[in-house]
Amino acid sequence: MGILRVENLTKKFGGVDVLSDVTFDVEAGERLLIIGPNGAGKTTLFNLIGGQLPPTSGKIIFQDRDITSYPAHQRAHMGVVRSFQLLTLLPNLTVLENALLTFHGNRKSRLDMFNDFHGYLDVNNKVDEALNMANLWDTRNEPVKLLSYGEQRRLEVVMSMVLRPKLLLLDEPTNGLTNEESADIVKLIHQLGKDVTILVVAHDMDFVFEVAEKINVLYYGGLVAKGSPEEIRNNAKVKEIYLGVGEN
Amino acid sequence: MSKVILQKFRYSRLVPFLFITLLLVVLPVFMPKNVQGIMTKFLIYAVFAISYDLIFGYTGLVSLGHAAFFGAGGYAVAVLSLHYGTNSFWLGGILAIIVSTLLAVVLGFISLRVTGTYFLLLTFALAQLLYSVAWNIPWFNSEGMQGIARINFPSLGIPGEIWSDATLYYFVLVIAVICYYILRRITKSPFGHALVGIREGEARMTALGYNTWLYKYMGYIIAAPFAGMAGALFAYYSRFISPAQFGLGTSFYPMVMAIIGGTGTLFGPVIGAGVVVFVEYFASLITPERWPLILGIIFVLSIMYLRSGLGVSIYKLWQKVSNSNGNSKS
Amino acid sequence: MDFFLSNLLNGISYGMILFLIAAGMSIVLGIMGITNLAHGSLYMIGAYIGWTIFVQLGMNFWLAVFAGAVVSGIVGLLIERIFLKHLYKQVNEQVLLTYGLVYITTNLVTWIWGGRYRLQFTAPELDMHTVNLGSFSFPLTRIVITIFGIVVALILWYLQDKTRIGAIVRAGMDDKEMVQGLGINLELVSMAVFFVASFVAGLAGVIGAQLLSTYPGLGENVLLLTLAVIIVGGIGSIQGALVGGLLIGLIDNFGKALFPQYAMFTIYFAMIIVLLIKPSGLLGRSK
Repeated sequence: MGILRVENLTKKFGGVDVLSDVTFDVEAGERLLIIGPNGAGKTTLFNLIGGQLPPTSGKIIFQDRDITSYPAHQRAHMGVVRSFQLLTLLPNLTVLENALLTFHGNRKSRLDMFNDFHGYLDVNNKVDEALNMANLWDTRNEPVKLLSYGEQRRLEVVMSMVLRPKLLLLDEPTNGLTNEESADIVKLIHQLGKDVTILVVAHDMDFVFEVAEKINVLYYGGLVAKGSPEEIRNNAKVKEIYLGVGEN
Repeated sequence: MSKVILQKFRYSRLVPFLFITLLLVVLPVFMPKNVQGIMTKFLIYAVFAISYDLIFGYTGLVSLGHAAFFGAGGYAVAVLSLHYGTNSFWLGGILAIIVSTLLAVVLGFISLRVTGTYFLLLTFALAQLLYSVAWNIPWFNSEGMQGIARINFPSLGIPGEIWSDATLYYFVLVIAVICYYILRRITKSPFGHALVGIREGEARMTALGYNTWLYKYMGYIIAAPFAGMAGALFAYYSRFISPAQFGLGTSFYPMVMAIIGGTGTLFGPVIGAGVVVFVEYFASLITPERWPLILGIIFVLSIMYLRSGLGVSIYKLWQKVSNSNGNSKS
Repeated sequence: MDFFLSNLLNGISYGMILFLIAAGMSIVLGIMGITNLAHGSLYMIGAYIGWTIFVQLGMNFWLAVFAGAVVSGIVGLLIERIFLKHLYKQVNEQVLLTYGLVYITTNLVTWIWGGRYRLQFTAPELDMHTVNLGSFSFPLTRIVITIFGIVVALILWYLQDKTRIGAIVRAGMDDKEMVQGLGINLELVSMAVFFVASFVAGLAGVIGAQLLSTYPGLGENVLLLTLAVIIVGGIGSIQGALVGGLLIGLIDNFGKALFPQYAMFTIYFAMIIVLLIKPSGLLGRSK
């Protein structure tokens, strides 16, 4: 069993099966891409793994522990880091404040009520690292909402990486970015070591084939194909699904 | 370089500090008794307002029942006076803190089961419940009336102590400053910033590893003793406590003050408290009968047209002024 | 048996008044997302207008009912047009502003009519008359109130569930943009809903004056009761307001009869228990 196992995962909303009976394993250090047309359930899958939503049935096993009932904040402490399809950076707070909150999340001191928020050396180091990597040190006192979309996206992805997660879930990380900005994200992903397992939801095929070691294809809530990029590229069913829609 | 920094520090920090000290410490000595009383009332409500700001301004929890803790603190002091014949501040103050905190542990747990409008309504209902208790249960009432009367000045157990309106004022001032200082520390801490994060984006905070429910609960519990202390001071100040201290009107004060002065800033609600208390006072002088009506109209108009709050505007103005004075780079 | 029946009728008739007030507030809160704390004051205004027309001017009681309803309807509409229209989705401001209006109306009422506790009043043909069924006699007023309540409930329910307007209003509750995109003037619909809600509240104020009296603090007290009803019954439906109203009415009456010392608490306990078990109210939609 790899670092993550998703077993018979099903999610129903009302009468609709958004995910049905999805099962797959992820090896430690793997770069797994989840693709599929809109509405296939990709983000819902992430919501289940990240803990934002509870499954209707099925199990999620992370590092040999059944985390199905664990709340999101607890999974964060286990090393599961999630970025979201819609940006969730806190728009009215500054870049610096966002970064400080991000890197304080895993520290015991996050419940501290007496010391100055800005005075934690280890947190500040992480903040410095992230802001420099994202090239946003100079704008650190700007409210996040004043940054360009590309800058915000980059900040979010970089911070996710600097958190040194065990399992990194990136939901549409290049959504809305220019080719240049997307290439930056790819570079950043390549810089991560094998101690990080990365799951990515994406629909930009260029991006997918540049990053993927394995690909899972979702279609109407079901897992219809899984394999290496080559296998998926040649898979008849996958071609059928993507017929006429940006096939690579 | 260092001279510029020193100048900047002195100027922009020292002047407001001196001004406030003058206003709160020096001037009251020369004020007539009733103005001193109003100043005392202002400080009491300021403490109540900053306590509320922690959950309302910082955490974003819209509670309509903060009077529960204010009233609890007031009744703690009142009951000690009525049934145990003591006005010792050591007993009264500590009891007020304990009672209001324990109350918050229970009420917070119930209230935080729900969010949004339901939370608003539930906090309101719970405060009204306490209102009922205070109204109906004879033990909480002086003989033949509603509420508890004839509460004396507090006593610190110091031999030869003499209390007057003036000493009460300075006593309240000391407590208010302590409360403000503690709350300031809390808002500057990681915990305080996490509360703001939860207000701005709870989903993200959860994903980052913050147990947001716990933060809201703890914030709620921590705010309570300050409100309770304000209530206790109120009992000493007005010599009288009634169920109205649990009522909707009382719960509204800190909300109004926070909004007028600027929520989530701590000093904003203080300014708001000053505005409300003094406007009420002057309005009552001008039209003794119709002032509530006029106040209500001013209040409604200011909701419609006042935005980020007076306190914040004053602060920004001050920033501008102090930055443009001989400093090349801010 | 006597005890049970009389409390039952009292509870139901009282509950009907509560339903009439709460129905309006519940729909306004559920559809337009507006928290209007001055709704209780609209009830009070109706009561005072009714008193003026009937007691002071000596005119027909039913005319007074109509007048109270119309005046409240207009005042409510004015509140929506002048103030609430501009505070879309700003809950804090709505809460503060409408409470400010409660404060103002309470003081205005004291100014115009004086602060004295008014007696109950009702139509002469109803006052002091009873209906006798076997050995039990029921006050006619309460029966009339109950019938009134049922009739209004049926009309409103019909409007809500069976008509196009009702469907629009319910759709607007779920998806404002969609409904507007269909070319429906949601603003006009909102105004109509607000008027009807206030109208019904004013109407309730006059016919309920027999039970709840007329005094400046009525606005706030009624607000409390209304909130209890919508918390228990659920927000956003006529059925919820009816169930909530009846339950609160019954609990209040039986509570006062069985445990007189705890009279005031029974309602709050009901509220809290419902909020703990089913936060969205008994008939409310779960989130």
